[in-house]
Amino acid sequence: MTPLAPQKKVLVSTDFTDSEHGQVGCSTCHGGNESSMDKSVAHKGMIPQPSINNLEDACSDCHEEITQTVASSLHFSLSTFKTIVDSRSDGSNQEMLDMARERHCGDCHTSCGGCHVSRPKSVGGGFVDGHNFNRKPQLLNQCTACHGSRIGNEYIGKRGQGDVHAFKGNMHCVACHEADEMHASAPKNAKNRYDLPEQVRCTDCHKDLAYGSIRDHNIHIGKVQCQVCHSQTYTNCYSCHTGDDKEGLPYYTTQQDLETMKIGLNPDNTEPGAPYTYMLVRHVPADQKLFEHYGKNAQNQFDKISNWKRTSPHNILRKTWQNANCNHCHGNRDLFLEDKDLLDYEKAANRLVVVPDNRVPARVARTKAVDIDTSRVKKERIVDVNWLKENRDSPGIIVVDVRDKGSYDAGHIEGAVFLDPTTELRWPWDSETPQELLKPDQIGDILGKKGISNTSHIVVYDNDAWQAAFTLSVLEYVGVKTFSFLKGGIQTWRLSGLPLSTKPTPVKAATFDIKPRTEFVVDNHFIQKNMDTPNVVIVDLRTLDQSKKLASHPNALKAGRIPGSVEFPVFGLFMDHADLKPPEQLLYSLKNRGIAPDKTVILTCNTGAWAGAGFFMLRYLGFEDVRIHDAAWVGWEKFVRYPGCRYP
Amino acid sequence: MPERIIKPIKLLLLLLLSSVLISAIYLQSAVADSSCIDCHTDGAKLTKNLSKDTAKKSSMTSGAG
Repeated sequence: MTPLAPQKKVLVSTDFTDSEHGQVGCSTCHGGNESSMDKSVAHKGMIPQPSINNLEDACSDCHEEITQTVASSLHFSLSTFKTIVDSRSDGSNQEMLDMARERHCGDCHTSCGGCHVSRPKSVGGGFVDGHNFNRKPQLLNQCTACHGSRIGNEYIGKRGQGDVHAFKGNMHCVACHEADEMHASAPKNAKNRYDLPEQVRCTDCHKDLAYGSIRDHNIHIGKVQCQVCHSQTYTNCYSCHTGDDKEGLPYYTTQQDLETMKIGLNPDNTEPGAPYTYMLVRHVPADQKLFEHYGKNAQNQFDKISNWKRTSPHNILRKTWQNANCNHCHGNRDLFLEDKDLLDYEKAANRLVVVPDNRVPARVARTKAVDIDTSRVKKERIVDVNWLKENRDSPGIIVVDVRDKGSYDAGHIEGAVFLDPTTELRWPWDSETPQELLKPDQIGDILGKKGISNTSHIVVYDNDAWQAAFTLSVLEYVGVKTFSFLKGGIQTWRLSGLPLSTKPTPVKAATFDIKPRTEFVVDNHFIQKNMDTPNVVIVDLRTLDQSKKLASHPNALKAGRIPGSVEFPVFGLFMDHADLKPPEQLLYSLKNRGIAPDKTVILTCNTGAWAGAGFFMLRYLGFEDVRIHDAAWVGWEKFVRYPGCRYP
Repeated sequence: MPERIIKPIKLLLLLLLSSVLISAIYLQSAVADSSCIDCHTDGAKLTKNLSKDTAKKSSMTSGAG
């Protein structure tokens, strides 16, 4: 989220002064000296966050009932942090633990203003809506501004396909997490949010499933947490460490994250709302040395609390790979948490969560196989680091690094040439066709100058996936026959202990003999003509915040979506750090949104880059008729608004 | 002076004093409002006063994971 400019953070809307809260008067809540026109005098003694530091005067007079509980709510008190941190110690170093927790974890709390008036400090703060009080917190500016890296990204499809409640239900956070839950007082010694009696549960809406027509609900309800069958993969963070930076400010940092899915045992199925045996578990970054900055052995009872925790990912789908067939879970040892998934120091802490072999449900003898044809998958278009290690010095192999220049200079795979595809292969923003692909012969010239010929086997890697996939789509467009995506990207290369080089690769120009496949790229007229054509599916690969009009690209005139397009965020095709799901799982996900290999698939996004990334993946999966809508949303909305005049 | 003359004058003076008092109270609150609201609703003034401000670093933005 882009931080607001300093003046915009504190700009009060004139609407506010006419509102009910505006009539209360500034100093009632904020204190200060309101009779002075001098800034420093007026601000003396001012309370910037009255609902935290002046709750009684600011909110209680009118909202007495809410303020009675809100001060002990989870958002305000962060009481579960203390319960958990304290549980990992015998209490002999309580003072030190309290200080460490307060300095590193205590800053995240919020109160009334943080949800109803302002953006959180973590994204720079400032008013959401000119200091107007919004009854319902906003999904992007407030809820996911804090709960973003996991919950927000999962929900709107910045990791995975997004959540069915978002793309089908168009539901915002408050649709499930209502005021009663948010304002509720947390029970004493609550270990997590699930201990809150007011906590929303799937069954609040999805009632009586055990008696419904779905056989698997009858079988699994009460034994298996809903999310086990209905979630997508999610991120797991490792090794949080704390310290002070050069300016003396406390910081925390995590060392690694990993997208995966693990089923664990529920260590306490007497907890309210958790009667089941199996649940999804997420690795939280609690590390034995989390507070070592403050003293040795700060968590001297680390083994007491597991750090693989029950989780409820916000990426729910009705149909998932797990619920497509019994044996996608039954007998699938890899899906269940086991000893080898644990770091040495956390084995004891997680002993009750690990699923021993004899508790992995046995394979089911007779099941109906999932009808997915993978025979057309072009497997050679994906290579892994072992293949590249063996083959990178072979004649005809060209390795291309498409990360940013700083990352390339800091260390790249030896022999890799640098390419910035989004700026080098596309027209600039101030051109007549902003961000559209250059002409094929221009692209051929650029690639040739980098020593890339169309007869080479070109392997492209990235830190994440989409830039590499976009580059590969351009290569196919200009006629390259042999090209591959490096699965796992640079992170897997690095974690495999393979060497990196900081020396720029000497480039010997090559001849690039273009053989363009111009049919792959289509314009706005093609979209308009085919919007209602049977067997044509237009796929919007943007994240759901954009397709749902909550946000728009900075260069778009407005937020919106091409009518009739199917939402499938591009990140549903990739995993973190350029990892990939097996092709059958990807094909199954696409099929569930009506995107099948026998259709003409037109891919669109904001500027064409994600459409290109999706193009590579669909071609890899064996789709024959795939097109890139290069003008994309930024070009489409102008085309529709000013018909006949391409870029007015 | 006869009572019939003094009484209206007293009444007029009372009215005058009351209106002065009410105006003073009103002006007081208007001034009070203007010190906060006048500045915080004036984008140009805020830009002028705050353009040199840089984001204050907090622990939440210091090396977050």
